Amino acid sequence: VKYAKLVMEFLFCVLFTSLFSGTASAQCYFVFSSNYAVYASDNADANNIYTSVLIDGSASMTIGGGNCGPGYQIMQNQINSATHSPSAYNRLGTIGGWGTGSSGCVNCWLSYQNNQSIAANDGQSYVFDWQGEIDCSVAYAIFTSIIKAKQLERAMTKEQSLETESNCWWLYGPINILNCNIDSVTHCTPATTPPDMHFSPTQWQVYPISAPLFWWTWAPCEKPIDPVDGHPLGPWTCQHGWSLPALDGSLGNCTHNPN
Amino acid sequence: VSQKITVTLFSVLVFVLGAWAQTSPPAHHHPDIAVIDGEKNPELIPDATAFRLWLVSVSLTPNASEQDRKFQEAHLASLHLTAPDHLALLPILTDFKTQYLNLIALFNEAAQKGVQDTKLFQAQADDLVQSTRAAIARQLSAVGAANVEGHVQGEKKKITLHVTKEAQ
Repeated sequence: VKYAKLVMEFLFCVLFTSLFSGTASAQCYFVFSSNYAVYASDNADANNIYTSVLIDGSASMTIGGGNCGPGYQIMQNQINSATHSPSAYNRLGTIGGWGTGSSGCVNCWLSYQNNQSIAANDGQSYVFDWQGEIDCSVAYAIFTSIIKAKQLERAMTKEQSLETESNCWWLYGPINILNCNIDSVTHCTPATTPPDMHFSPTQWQVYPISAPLFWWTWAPCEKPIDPVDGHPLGPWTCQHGWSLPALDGSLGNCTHNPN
Repeated sequence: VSQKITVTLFSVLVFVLGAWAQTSPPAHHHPDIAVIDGEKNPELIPDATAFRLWLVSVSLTPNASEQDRKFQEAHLASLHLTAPDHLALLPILTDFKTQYLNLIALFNEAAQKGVQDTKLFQAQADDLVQSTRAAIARQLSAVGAANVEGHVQGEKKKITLHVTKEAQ
């Protein structure tokens, strides 16, 4: 009987504590969803390489579960007072890093862009790392994109004309000009063969000024790499660039960065 | 008596643990996130999304700095536009930026009051992208407009989308 009384007392205490300490908020939870995009672009002109990392999107935070009771308002106040901040990591060679945009409410649409540029030497490659992140003022990074990396360079290649003309078209004006596509092969030193970039054909004026026999081509190129160890994940790919006639027919010191 | 004290102390302990559980942060329910990597699957990046991101990235507000304009010039150079097409594109981009920032401002004003409509915003953003593409097709030469369309398709490989399954 004594033990039965003790057990009853214990059960009463547990019931009491359940009623007063176990509020309904324990049955509620934050329901979080997000929709973010990260866009990393790069380009080059005659002097610089430019990179841009954009993070754009929004999150949604609501209260899930039933029977929230007074805990609902506490959680709603937390949502109302919290803010989200967009950050974009844009590291180009030795410059750049994290940049952070204006913060907004947890359900706000956030859009932030981090731009960087570096004076680029011909043939030198630069590592471009990027990532996007959304930080919450009362919690932690609620969104972190996968980190990515690539090598960028402004490649230069010397080309030798094969003197084959195709797709010619006249440009009529005070002086009539004839342009044609001319096929070419690379003309680089053994140490810089194969070059990272090769474009053929190239469009040249063939009349009234004849096309050159040798020319240099410059173009922005990129190669995906492992962000951790820098291991190449693919070949160099190059955008269309620009060309100038070469002064002579000697073998060129072309851009050659195989690793 | 000692047994009564033990039971009482144990009950107080249960009460304290319950109170601690009450004051600890509520649980977060994070649905599964779908990652679409444009480098691997560019075909899964919607056209409207790719254009929106490209337009946001290369467009400027009317009071943009000289440095911003250099960035814009460098990014637009890869379109290989003629001078008239280039000049026609600049005000289209500025107009897009102005309208997009207005859309965000309106959405965020509603979000701060807790009455945001994300689907409506995305539909409005898609409409803005569509009208901007139409303006590019109308005001640039056929070759210039095709260059823009082709360039943005190629940019899909530089986009990563992170979408929770409920938001898809």
